[in-house]
Amino acid sequence: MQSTNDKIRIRIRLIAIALVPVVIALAVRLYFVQVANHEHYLEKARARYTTTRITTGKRGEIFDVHGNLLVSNAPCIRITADPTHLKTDDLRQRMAHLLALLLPEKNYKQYYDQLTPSRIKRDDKGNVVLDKDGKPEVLQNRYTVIARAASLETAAKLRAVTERSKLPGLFYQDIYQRTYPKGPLMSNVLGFTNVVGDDDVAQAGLEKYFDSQMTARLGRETYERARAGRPLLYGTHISEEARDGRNIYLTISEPIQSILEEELDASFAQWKPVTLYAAIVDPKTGNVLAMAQRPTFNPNDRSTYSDEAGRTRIAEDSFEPGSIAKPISIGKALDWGVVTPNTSIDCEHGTWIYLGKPLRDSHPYDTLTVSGVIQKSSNIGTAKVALMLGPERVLRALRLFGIGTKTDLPFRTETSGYLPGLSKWDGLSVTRFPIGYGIRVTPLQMLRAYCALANNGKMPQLRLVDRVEDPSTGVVERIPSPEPVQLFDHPEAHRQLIDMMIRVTQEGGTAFKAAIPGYEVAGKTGTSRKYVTGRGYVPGKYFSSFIGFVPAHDPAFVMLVTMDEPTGAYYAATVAAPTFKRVAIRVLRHMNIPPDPALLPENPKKTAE
Amino acid sequence: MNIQPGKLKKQRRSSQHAASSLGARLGAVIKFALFLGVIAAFLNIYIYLNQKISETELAIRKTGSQIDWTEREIAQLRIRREELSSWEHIRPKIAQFNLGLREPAPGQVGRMALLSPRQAELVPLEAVATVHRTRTVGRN
Repeated sequence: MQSTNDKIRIRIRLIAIALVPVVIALAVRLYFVQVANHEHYLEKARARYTTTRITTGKRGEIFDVHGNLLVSNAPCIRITADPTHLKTDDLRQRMAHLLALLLPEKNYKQYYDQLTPSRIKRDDKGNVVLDKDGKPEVLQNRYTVIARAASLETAAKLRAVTERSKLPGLFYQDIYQRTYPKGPLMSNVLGFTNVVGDDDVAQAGLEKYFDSQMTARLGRETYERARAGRPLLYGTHISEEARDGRNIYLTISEPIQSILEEELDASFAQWKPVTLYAAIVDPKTGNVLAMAQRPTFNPNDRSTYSDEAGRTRIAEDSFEPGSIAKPISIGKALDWGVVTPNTSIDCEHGTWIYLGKPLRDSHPYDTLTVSGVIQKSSNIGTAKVALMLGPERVLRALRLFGIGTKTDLPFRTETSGYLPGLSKWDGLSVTRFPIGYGIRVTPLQMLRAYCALANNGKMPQLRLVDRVEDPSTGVVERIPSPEPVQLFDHPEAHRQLIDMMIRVTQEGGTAFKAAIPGYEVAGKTGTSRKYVTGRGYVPGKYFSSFIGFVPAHDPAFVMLVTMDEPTGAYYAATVAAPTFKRVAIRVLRHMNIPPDPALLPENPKKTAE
Repeated sequence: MNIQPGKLKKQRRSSQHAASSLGARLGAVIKFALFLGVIAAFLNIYIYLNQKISETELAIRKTGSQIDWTEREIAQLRIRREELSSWEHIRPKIAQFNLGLREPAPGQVGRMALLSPRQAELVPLEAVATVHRTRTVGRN
């Protein structure tokens, strides 16, 4: 008979026998969990408590040369709602009332509808998705945008009120909205962006040209989080900083730009042209100081936008320049010794038949000196000087001054105008191209050509961007400018040409209305008939331009004013020259360039004091 | 005569041993208690520090978000300042308040070089306040 102890021993053995496989099984399982599949389970666990947060930098800003802000990013808050948090209809009504009060962009009904806890499912194309029974499929409404870009104050107020009233379900996301603090100032040049999803997508102008430089780099922070979502102090923490986009500093001077825009508004109202554009350039550096056009738009208010207003016409549009092209051929004729300022030209009393085609002057002249040809803007005189040069040298002169070549300013849409090669010239070309017919130029090309005249014959590269700054490192990269190209072999010829152009704005010249007391203004008017593809030269439609520089012998700036189809008058001397004068007087004052007392018409001593 | 049997040597040794064993046990218990106390203290300190770290971390995050908010407000104010300083804004105000302002004549404008104190030490006082005319009168 077995003793009690024996029985106990047997039981212990039985239990041990039963437990051993269990322990072995557990050990095996433990081995697989902890050793064999360790990485797999670790990854699975990590995926549960590791989170990645995407951070965004700010898009680069645009400044003028002095650091005045032209384009920036306004901090604002995107307010979204999860309507399922509002459990009762009473809560939804209270929330809708509150939103309508603080965010009056929408009314109570619109907010209430947005806060409906369920919504009908729609596909990518916006069509209603039906279930098996043919009824619209209904989803929980867990996300709705209450305000795309609310101001910080409004968002703070809303947050405080909802917290106090215990109204749940609103979420606040810090975002930036592209903003243009100076409104319509330079909007055609600066361009604009559209918001697509959460991103600013550049659409036009400098915004588009420098998009890759100004776009911010996304940051990424991966960390193991606590239950409340806060990062744990230990564990994985990989952080890649977001980087702000680069800032662009233009050569534009905001005060000069403001003067130009204000005066263009006045001229636009007075002459009601289809388009009006103007630009001011420092001829020594090629820096564009101001650039404006009408019509224009306010990038902060897209209802003012139209395709025509949004174009950068000053770089895109080309036109037959008319008489403003004359100094190019005549200047080179002087430089190559073909003519002198006193060479007499028979101007045929206003009408000259060449190769069976008439060429007319606006006023009849019998004989003019070359100097008089420029002063009176004689087509016949210029054409005869061009004939003396011959087609090859006329083409060479026009090409030297950059006609037909892009200025390479940062505009994707810049055109190169039209200057055909010699093979495409007919017998009349040599008499028409030098007077600005048959060729097409962009306003920027004409400005560059006149910069050469203003800068002792040296043609600079036009510049619109002065420097680029990396806000993260503070490194500033200056945009280099190539050395200006000397276009005149003989400085005396250049000086003679400038003297001729000064006479244009003096008594007896075509642009007496561009004269500024106390300053010598060198310039040229140009009134050209408007050529429309398919219709030819349209009667009564003109381009009226004035381009000049001041003070003539040490120019502070070159300015072009061009009106497309002015109404009421069309002569450049009447419509464009006075605009030039008004802008130039104010810009000279702003640049602190004093008048020459010797040139003041009365009481020079008093003025000098 | 009160005769008590004397303790045998073995017994005496045994009782001595028991006494010393009790002392040793007590000592061990005390040591163990001390050890536990130290561990408990360390644990408490550890928990306290963790709590402090957590609180500090929370405070850092709170301050961080306050800084973020302030920075955003500064950015907004900077934009507002630029809006208000634009000619588009100033021009109507001049008319509205009938200020009668006009642009200065070139002779009325002077530019002063403002130097840092360190730069100023190196430059004579009269030179610091020199008004520079930007351009000369007349032709080249």
